[in-house]
Amino acid sequence: MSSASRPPGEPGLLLRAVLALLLLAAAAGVALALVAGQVAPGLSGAVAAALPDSGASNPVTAVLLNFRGYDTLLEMAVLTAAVVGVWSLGPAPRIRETEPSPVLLGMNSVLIPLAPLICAYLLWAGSSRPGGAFQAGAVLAAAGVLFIISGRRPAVHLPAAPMSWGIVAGLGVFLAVALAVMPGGRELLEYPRGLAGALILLVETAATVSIALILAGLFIGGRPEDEP
Amino acid sequence: MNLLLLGIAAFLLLNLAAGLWRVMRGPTAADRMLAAQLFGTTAVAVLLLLAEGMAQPALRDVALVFGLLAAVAAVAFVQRVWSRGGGHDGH
Amino acid sequence: MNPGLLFDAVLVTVLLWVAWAALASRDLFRGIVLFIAFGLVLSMGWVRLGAPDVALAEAAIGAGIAGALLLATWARLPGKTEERPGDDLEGQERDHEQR
Repeated sequence: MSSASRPPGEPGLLLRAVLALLLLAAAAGVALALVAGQVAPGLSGAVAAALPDSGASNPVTAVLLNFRGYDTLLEMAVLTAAVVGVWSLGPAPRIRETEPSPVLLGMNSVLIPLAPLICAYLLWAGSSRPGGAFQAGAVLAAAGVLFIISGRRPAVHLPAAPMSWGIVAGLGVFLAVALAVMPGGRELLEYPRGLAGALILLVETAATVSIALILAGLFIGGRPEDEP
Repeated sequence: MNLLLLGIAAFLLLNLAAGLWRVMRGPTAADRMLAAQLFGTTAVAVLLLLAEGMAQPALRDVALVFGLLAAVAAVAFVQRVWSRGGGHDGH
Repeated sequence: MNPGLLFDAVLVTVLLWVAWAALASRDLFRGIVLFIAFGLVLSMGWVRLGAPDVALAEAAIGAGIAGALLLATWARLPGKTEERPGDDLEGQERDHEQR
């Protein structure tokens, strides 16, 4: 490593030593914090107390979609902005048409139909067990990735508009729900008591579709050719 | 019971560590990629053992997702890297 | 002895080692494969920390998208042959011709 033939741009010995010292200090700090034990009680008690009213029995979903719904709303905005940014860079690179091998086609015909099923399961499970919109959307996006890298153009040519609409649907529905609950003296995103479960499911369904399209759109790496 | 299940899981994890040797060694890209595929299968087994040993049935969902998606990286490798002669023939 | 302790010790060791190997790898392709392996081990780490939600997200993103994205990107990189002349590419060439 310390030979004279190190490539340009490689850090020198002094920088390495300083970095190592900083990392050691950070590790020691983390270890110290772990040994010292939990200082603050955390918010798990408050979450557990408010859980029955939240519309979801899985505390993670309750925090993400209800107690801290504002964060999740802005995260959807970040994801949407990311795909808009990638699309603005240029058109997607052309897919090189190849004839997929029969093995790949056979595997795709098994795996791709399973993905929407597991996606729906994870979405539904999110209200009571680990799961939720992001995981479900990622599974669906993975099926899309599998389809894209198989190298054959989809036989059904999706027109551009549904993709754009699908990408903004998650953010749009979330915003609409956030604003629609406001009449009646409620705050932004303060769901009415009996309706919380249904509203969370609505938001999560739209978010799942959007996340799947956004992740697949990011994988394509540019604006689809039909897009203006 | 727990000891047995978590012990087997630890053993499988050691198997994964042994497979890392193949990733480090190579020599071809396919060797490395197939080792990663083996890790995917190992992870499914470990997660199923943990689901039983930790009494957390939700972990079976994680194993399910791994089982479904472990093949995606392999397909990406075959289609994008291997089919172009290891990717070193330029464009 | 706590049965989880042995597993956790192995897990932490493997996790740190894979992380270091992926970072320190001079061969980009090996780094990518190690990163995929890192995602798998990290997912088990989240499980042991009692965060199955995060483990699920890591499984879906790490196995389904990140690996494919990195491999596709690697295939598009120019000048891979200069990266590391030697063992890797010759083996690939030989195997490729055998097909």
